[in-house]
Amino acid sequence: MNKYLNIYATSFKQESKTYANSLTSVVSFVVIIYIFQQLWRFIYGGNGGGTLINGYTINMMIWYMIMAEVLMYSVNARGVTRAFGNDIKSGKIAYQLNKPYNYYMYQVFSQLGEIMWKLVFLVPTGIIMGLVLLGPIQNFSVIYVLPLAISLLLAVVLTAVIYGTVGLLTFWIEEATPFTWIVQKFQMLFGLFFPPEFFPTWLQPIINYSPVYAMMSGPCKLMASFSWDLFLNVSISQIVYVAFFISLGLLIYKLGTKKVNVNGG
Amino acid sequence: MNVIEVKNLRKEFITNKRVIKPNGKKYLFKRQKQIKNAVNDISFEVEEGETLAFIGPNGAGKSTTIKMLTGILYPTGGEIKVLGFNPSKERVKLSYQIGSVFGQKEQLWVHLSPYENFKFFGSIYDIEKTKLSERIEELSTIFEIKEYMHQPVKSLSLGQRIKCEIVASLLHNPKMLFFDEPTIGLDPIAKETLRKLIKKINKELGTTIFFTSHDVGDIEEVCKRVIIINNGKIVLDDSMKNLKYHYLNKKIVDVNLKKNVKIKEKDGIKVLKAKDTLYKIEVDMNKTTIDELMSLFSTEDLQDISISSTPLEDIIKDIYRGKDE
Repeated sequence: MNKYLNIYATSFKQESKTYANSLTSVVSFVVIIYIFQQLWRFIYGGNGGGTLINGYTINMMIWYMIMAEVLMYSVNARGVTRAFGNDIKSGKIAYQLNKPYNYYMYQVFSQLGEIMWKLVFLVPTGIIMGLVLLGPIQNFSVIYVLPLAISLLLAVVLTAVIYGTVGLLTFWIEEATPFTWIVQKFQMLFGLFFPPEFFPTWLQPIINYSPVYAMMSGPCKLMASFSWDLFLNVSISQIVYVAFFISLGLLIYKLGTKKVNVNGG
Repeated sequence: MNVIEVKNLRKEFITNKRVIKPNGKKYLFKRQKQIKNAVNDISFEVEEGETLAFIGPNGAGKSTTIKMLTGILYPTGGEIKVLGFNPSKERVKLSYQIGSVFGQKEQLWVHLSPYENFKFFGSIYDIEKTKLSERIEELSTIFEIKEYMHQPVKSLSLGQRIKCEIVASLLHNPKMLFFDEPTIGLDPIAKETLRKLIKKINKELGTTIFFTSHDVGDIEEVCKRVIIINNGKIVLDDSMKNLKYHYLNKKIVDVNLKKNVKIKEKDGIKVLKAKDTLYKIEVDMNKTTIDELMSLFSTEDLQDISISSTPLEDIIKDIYRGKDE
């Protein structure tokens, strides 16, 4: 485990040298948050007042959206898929396989290093924007910071693992990013744009038990309105899905390494 | 002691090709299985401390063999033992004992310094901190990289980067080092420096060198033994000394005469080119002598003469083409 933490730390350090890129990404993040909060204000009508839409006040909705954008910006879905896929396509994976680590886990921890560096910028920017635009979250307590951080971390781990696993499909197909595109659209439609409560009643349980809930809607709902029950519910879902997708990724990786010769051998 | 033992090694690649209809078009779904013998029943052994060149033209099977030796590919048949390990079953254990340098694939983190990279690789190979510091000190002295060891890798020249790549591969003190075209893209001075360093690693650290390159200069200078593989089979396994002795027996004689003379070919003497008074003649020293050649024309007619050996590159090309007789 120690060597994987070192992979993570080295990747974080490597990414920290590209702070100019990170700052550019933050500018885009700020613009998006501003546009979406204006859009929600319009939907809620004027300053929102006490209007509730599907149980969400405008403040809850915008904090939900800020958390969702933090998650979207921190994990570059296509970038993660390509990190796995390009190594397979170029044959570089063959030269990584003779190192004393599991290549799949190496990539997962390496991607997490990059993601964590982005969070260093995105989380404070998101909080500042929320406080400036909306003021403090109602009924928020300092003790919620740790569970929220845990939920955010589990969400990014899960997202990276899912898109990484999609990248492993490159063992069989030339380009895996179209699959990333499909998964990402599910993530956006059922997580980023609207909370599950905005969908028809019959669809809500499906969303709540889907990976999208663990990677997006769950932590965003926690941010909008924290409760320990919800935290427990979201965390269990995240842990189960992280374990499932890591196992699936390891299995695909094991099967895929037998095909190294086909691509880039 | 043998560090590599390969017996009757085979690797087949199976591909499915669309079947062609009588009208020349291809069937949409009908596929025909095609088997390609990438490595076809090869056997060889490598002794500890050897410097071996494993060469062949593109698609000959050398890369496939190296991947099987390092456990990346599973053999279809035959046996492999590398440092006593079965590579496909004990890949991780083996990885602690071997190192690899690939000229075209970088393993260093480019935004970090070589020193930070070395610390990273130290942790990957579970090297204790004090031992790692000593090792970095030792290798940075041998490779003379101290001057730029704390600069980001991206700011280094290709030659400096390759030196750092080799240091990174040597940190865990591997018993064997696989080099795959390490000098590709380097200028002649950087190539020369690198070749000397590889020889130094072999001599001072006792590391067995397994070398692949298309650069004959690399092979000639670094390796004492050559295995040439073509179409999945070993076509030559000999010492560099023997290769030179047996295959460098042909001399190329360029003669410029005062007048046009008919030079008669005989056993061991072959006129390769004749234009006006200029002649390019190949002399097989196993069959004849230069004196014999000189007797074919009058020395009074001689204006200029130069004698050279067939370049090793041409010999290797001929072996690749199967003209090794």
